[in-house]
Amino acid sequence: MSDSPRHDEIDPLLLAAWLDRRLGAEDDARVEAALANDPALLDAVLAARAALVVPELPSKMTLAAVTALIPSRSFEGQSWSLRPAAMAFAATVMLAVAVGGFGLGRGLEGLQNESAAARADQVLGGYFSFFGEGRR
Amino acid sequence: MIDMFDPSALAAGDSGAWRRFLSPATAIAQTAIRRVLAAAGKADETGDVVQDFFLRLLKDDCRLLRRFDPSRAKIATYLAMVAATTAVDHLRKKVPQPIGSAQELETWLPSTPPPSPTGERLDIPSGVLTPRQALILQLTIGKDMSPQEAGALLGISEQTVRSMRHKALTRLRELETENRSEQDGTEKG
Repeated sequence: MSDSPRHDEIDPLLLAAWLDRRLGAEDDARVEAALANDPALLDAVLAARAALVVPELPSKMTLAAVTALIPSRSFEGQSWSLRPAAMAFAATVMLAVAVGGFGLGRGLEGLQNESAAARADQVLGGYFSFFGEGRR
Repeated sequence: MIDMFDPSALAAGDSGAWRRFLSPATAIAQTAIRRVLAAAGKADETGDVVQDFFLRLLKDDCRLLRRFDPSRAKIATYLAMVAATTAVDHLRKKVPQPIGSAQELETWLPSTPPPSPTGERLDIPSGVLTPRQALILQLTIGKDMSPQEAGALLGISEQTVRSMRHKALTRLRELETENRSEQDGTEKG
């Protein structure tokens, strides 16, 4: 059995540097020894290289699933001052629309509240879209 | 275009940077992962492993992104390599299926690399050939790559690949001859 390191012992950055021909002779030899002795690692390197030559279009389903992973993480560490302001604004809008709808008459109260709710949704959606939240 | 992305902005949680990054990164990751999984007959698991890839990027406060050094490799190459090794890890976690004879199954242990489904792996004695010679044999014989393709991968000419391959095979034949002579001498003695 070879003493060459397995794929999980070789830094992906080292492998990437090898693919990009940026290593010195000693590191080249180390990587090539590992590739010659670990067929799974060699398959990974060949697959990575192929992906760089002709990357396929990302599937919409996969892209949507991945997008869902990111937003909650990407807001961590950011200033949170925008969120309370956004929520306050949204609440004000909803209140204004609801009051405006109520003022037009009881006979149409049910219908107008439904319309007010729909309009509030549109306003909220546009606001968050402007600030970049809630995008797919 | 992906080489224009700043990993530090991603690691800092810049949502705009992530939105611009996702599509090209998914394209690269999906392609690399699908190739690895397809060779093992598990291409239908590509979507799941792509998600694993992004979770890996996010893990430990985006450790992999923070570690990236643009002086060592291109970001696209790095991402492709992380994606491909994520797929290999995924396959290694799978419960081993019968891969051939009962003898092969008995000798295959989870701690050892599973046999490559994409072609034969040549059993080359260690220390006999240089790493590059051994790799050239694995590529041109094990993976059935042409000398031109192998040369493109290694950054050397086709002629150099042919020459190194010839030297490697000559060395292996010499070794075989030596081993036979020793065996004959042992039997006679």
